[in-house]
Amino acid sequence: MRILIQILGETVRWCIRGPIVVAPLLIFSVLASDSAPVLLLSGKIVNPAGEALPGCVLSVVSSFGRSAPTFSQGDGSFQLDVALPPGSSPVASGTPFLEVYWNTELMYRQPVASLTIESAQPVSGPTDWANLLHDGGRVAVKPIRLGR
Amino acid sequence: MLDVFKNLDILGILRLGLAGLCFLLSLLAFFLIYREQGRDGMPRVGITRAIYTFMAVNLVTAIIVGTVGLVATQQTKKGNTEVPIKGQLEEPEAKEYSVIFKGMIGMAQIMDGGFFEQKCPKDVNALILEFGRAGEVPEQFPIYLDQLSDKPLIFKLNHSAVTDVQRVAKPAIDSAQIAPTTEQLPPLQLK
Repeated sequence: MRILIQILGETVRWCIRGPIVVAPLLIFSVLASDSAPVLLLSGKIVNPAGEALPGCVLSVVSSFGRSAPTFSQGDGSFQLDVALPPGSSPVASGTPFLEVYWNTELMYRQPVASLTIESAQPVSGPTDWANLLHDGGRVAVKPIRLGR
Repeated sequence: MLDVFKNLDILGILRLGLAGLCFLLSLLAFFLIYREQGRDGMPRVGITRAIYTFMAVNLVTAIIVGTVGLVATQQTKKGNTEVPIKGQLEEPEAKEYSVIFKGMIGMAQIMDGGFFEQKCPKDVNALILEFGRAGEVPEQFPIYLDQLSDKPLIFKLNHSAVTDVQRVAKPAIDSAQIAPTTEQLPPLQLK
């Protein structure tokens, strides 16, 4: 009987202690999963004559990884969701480049930070590439002229 | 001999594998205890100890069987977490088209003779397939994974029906626009 009471006591104690131990772990994991900033990059792809270039494959790439590729639409517009490496410096994660492919042929590769910002909504801080590539936000760049 | 042992389908039980063997060993342990209890006088210490050892070995085997079964089930479950999406683009120049799977971790695929196949995680409810080639407006098709069957999906582009579709010409490559890099960049997953 004494053993049974002891086991019951231990169980009740763990039921109280359990959530106290587990809750911070859960909160930490939720916060950690939400901490990767995202940059929504939009713009337009045009030829040297200023005509829209649809069907080009665009992607942002760095040594950290590659964003999901997307096609430029009928008016040449595109939108890319770029997951940024959480909390790391640009040096550690490498320079992010915007790449544009004509089918499988690479036509354009320039650092994202070299693109001209048309409008931007940073998550916080100033509207410059250093901040946008660190904290994320929305940014529209000026039309990119492809080829010569 | 107990009646339960007389009509026992030993081969049938052994066909179950190690789990069946464990069951038979447990039954034998019970039989040994039964025999020892049926004797006159006190049970023999040596025999009882031998039965204990026999039961311990049996218990270890049962634990191994249970663990292996559990691990195997988990691995089977993990193996079935993806759904294959097979399709075909009915287009005379299908080989030139790529398909991008939107809603999944970015995948793009060039179709092999119009065919494509991609595995998609089961937890994705819907995704959009976008077909396109350079110089043409891409076209999108929503896909609901719970409506997929084993048969490949057939896609027809809307612009195929329109005869006067103009394709924008490829501009000449400007090598100055392709920045050199010393970093190891992951390639575009066009395969």
